[in-house]
Amino acid sequence: MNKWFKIVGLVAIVALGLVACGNKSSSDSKNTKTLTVWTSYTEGAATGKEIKKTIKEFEKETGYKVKQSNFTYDMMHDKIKASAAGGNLPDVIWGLPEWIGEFNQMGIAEDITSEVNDWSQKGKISKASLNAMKINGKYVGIPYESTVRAYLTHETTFQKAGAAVPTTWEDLLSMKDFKSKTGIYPYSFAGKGVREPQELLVYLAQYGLNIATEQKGGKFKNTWNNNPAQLAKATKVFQFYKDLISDGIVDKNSATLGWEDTDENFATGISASYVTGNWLAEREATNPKTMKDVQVNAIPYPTDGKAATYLEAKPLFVLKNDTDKAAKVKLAEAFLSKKAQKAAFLDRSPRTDVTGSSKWSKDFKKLSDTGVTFPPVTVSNIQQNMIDSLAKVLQDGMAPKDAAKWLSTEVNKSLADNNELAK
Amino acid sequence: MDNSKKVRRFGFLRTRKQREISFSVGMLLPALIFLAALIGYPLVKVIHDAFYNVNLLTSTSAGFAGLGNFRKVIADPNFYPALRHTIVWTLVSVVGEYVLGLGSAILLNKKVKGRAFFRMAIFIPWLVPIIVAGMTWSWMLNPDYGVINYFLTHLGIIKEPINFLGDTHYALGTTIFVNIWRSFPYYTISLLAALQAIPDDLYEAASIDGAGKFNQFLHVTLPQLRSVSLVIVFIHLIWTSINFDFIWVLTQGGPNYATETLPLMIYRYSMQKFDVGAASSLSTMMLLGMSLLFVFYYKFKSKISEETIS
Repeated sequence: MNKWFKIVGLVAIVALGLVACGNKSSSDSKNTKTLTVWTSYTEGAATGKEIKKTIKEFEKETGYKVKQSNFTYDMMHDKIKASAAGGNLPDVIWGLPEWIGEFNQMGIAEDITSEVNDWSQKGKISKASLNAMKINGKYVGIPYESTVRAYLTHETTFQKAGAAVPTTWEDLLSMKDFKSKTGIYPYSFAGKGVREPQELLVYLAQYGLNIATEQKGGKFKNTWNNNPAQLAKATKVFQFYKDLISDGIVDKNSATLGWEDTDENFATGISASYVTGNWLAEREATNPKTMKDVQVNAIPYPTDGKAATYLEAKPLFVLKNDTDKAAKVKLAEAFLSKKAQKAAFLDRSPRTDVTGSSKWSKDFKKLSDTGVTFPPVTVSNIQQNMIDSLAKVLQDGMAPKDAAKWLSTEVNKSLADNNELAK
Repeated sequence: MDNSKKVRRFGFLRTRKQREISFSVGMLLPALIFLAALIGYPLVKVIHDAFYNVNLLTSTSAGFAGLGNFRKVIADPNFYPALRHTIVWTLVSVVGEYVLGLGSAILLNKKVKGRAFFRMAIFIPWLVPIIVAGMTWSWMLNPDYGVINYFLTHLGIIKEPINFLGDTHYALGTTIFVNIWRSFPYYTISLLAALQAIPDDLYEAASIDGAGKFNQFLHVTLPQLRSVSLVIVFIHLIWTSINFDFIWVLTQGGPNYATETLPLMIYRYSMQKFDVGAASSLSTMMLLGMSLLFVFYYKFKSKISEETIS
């Protein structure tokens, strides 16, 4: 008996130790008033330094201790899913707009509608950015960073080619001799990675198309295969991509380049123009020679379409766990204070009263009226479907119409897998 | 404390053998608990989930799935290409690593000037973190500004830059090449240690029998390396086939799934489609494959041991 008592005792001690390890953060939160925040900024950049100051001030004001960890978005995305499965979520995280539908579906984001509505600073936040945080009328996040994509051009390269900055797809496709005159391709696009679906979304939106639209009952569906007019427009978008390569407007390698390559190519002058964000301002310091002639323009659109750009309103998520919700919301709001935003997000703040005087701020903000976002569904696999569809056209030689049909079918399959498909 | 008091205190341990067993169990128990918690539980959970509908996002279809997840994975159009890529990636990598490792080990076993430096330098690729090695190679292989394309075009070897990691014709081969570069030093060091342990007498005896250098290599060196070769080849067959990070850093399975292997498919199922059931069934299939490989290894190893003894 005594022997078994000792063995059971030993097992219990080790098991308790394991349990204590697993729930460390929640017990910390209760006893020492600790809040956990996961951020995502470029290490060494000004944003990180300023955010650390904001956190220190918050700690001073509230008495809470804030445990901050910085990750890339990809890393954080995977970690969140693992934490959710383990029931050990952090309190506040800086996220991407693509996660809104997914986190809502997973049920891990707090509904902060009443807190946002009561928030004194709500009126200072851009309506478009705030609306991007809503699902079925409720807020599941607040925007901490908001920017749109613009069409950046190297003025001197265009002058060398004797070409005007294109405003339409047709202008763009007519620049067939640009490469021979300058040795540089006039345009570029991303064919893989997270940037590709964002670009495709914009070109589709320029024809009034969305990757999935809300149906009666609140669920979503891609309707192209049921609507010949929509399918014809989607086909035109894939044809546009194909023509860009076959007409020598874009390097054929673009079909497999990610955002790291395309941003680098533009910053170093390897490509004459590219649709990207105002974070490229940072490249003025690292590539002063090639970045000094950059102009900010609206993204070219088809003459039978309309202007559109990608609105990237990044949400601060308050996640569901044992920690006091009010404290978590307060920390999230601290990142949205005018002081914090001015210091850390001057060129890309969702606050209407925070704006810089440079082209990276003013010229980008001018384009925000035409911003579009992903629908509030789980887009993780839909993004992969979008990448695959373009690969089928540009690498497998699939006909644009077949690619549009394929994408429509696959998007609906992805929606069905996550119980988000409307009947 | 005298012995009679000790016996009274641990009265239930009457014999010396019982006390020894009790002591061994006590010492092993913490390790066993950790093994059960950290390896046993996840393993059992994966096998369990393989037969259930488990989705990270929705619980509407949760329940027993039978072989449904296995059928779903096998019916996936990416499954057979990924299986083929996994086999090619694993076999070509391991063969390449072995050949390069053996060659470099033989060279480094010779008495040459600067041998200590070369022995140390050859280990560097294996010491570089995977993320650093992967990123560096992807920059070096870039068609627009990569140093490799720059040299190849300037030396007139190729007319225009090759998109090594972005062209479906080159991507898998390039990934395998970079993997061989990274892993062969492990073979070099292991085989070098084995080479140094071969007694000179064997070579002298072979020489007296009239064996030339090639025959000495064939009949003395290779048989002496058999045991260590078996271990490192089988370990690498398993390590390479389950490798995720190196391919992910280099190509993320692209372009257009040209380098997609089974571990990447598992990742996509769980992290992109949130279908933990399908991910678990594919993991279970891989686990089964690896276990069969291990059984084969164990039998082969036992056979070699028996031959050595006899």
